[in-house]
Amino acid sequence: MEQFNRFYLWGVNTKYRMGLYFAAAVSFKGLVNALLGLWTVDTLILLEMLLACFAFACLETAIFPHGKNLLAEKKRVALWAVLANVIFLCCGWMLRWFPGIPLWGALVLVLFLESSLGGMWYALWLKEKRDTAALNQGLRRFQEGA
Amino acid sequence: MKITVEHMDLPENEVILRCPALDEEMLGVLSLLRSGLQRLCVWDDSRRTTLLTPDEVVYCETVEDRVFVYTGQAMYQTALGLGELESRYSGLGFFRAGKSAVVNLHQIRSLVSQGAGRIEATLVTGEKLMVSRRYAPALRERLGL
Repeated sequence: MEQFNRFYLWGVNTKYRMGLYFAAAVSFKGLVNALLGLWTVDTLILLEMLLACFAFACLETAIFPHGKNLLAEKKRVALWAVLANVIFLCCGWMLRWFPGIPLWGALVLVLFLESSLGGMWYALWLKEKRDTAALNQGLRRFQEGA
Repeated sequence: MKITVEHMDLPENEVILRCPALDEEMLGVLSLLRSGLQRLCVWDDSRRTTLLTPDEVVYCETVEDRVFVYTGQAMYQTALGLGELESRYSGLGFFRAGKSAVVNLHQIRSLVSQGAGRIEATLVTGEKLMVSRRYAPALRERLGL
């Protein structure tokens, strides 16, 4: 039962991450299609995106198990970034997720992926920085109030 | 240990401890008696007892069922458990930072928010102590956050 519970919790955590990435991928695919004048998204591509997001979410859960400090683990962050690039760029290119896109468009997509990854870490860093400031402000208040 | 309570006409309560030597048991009894005076009774490696004021204590930790008390300069042992230390001196800034540590909030130099809800505390001695996920919400509450 304990094994099952652990697996179930892992599944819930992974599904949550997969959902986030899938939502971003589908939104982006929809936007690119709209710019290319297409108003439908191929079901097979959606399925491929879902599987790619699931694979990435599984790897992410393995790289950052619960309790790890996401910002302090530089090697893990580097591995995470490399895997994100390998999985999403390879899938996008080999499975032709964005057919008919010009070269400059592909470059914009890569740039967008990199800035999205960077943005995620910036958000975490900013959150921790603000939390640290609030903690120290509270500590000073506590120490002066005594 | 034999315990005898005698009722007699005295100007104030009196406790006399009789023992061949100050062993762990007697040190514990002494510690409990003296801690009632807000001071923390501790002893060092040479079994010399000292009364510390709570503000001298930087942090306390358990190691193999023993409770060690750290000040800026020295390390002592006490007979009180971490739970007792926390409840007895909570009003003086003692806070449970983990399963095996109690820290004096007045002896923390700075705090750093860590991933997964943990908080790293840098003490005035320069040592770093991690406030675990379980106790971090209580710390935030204590600091009015």
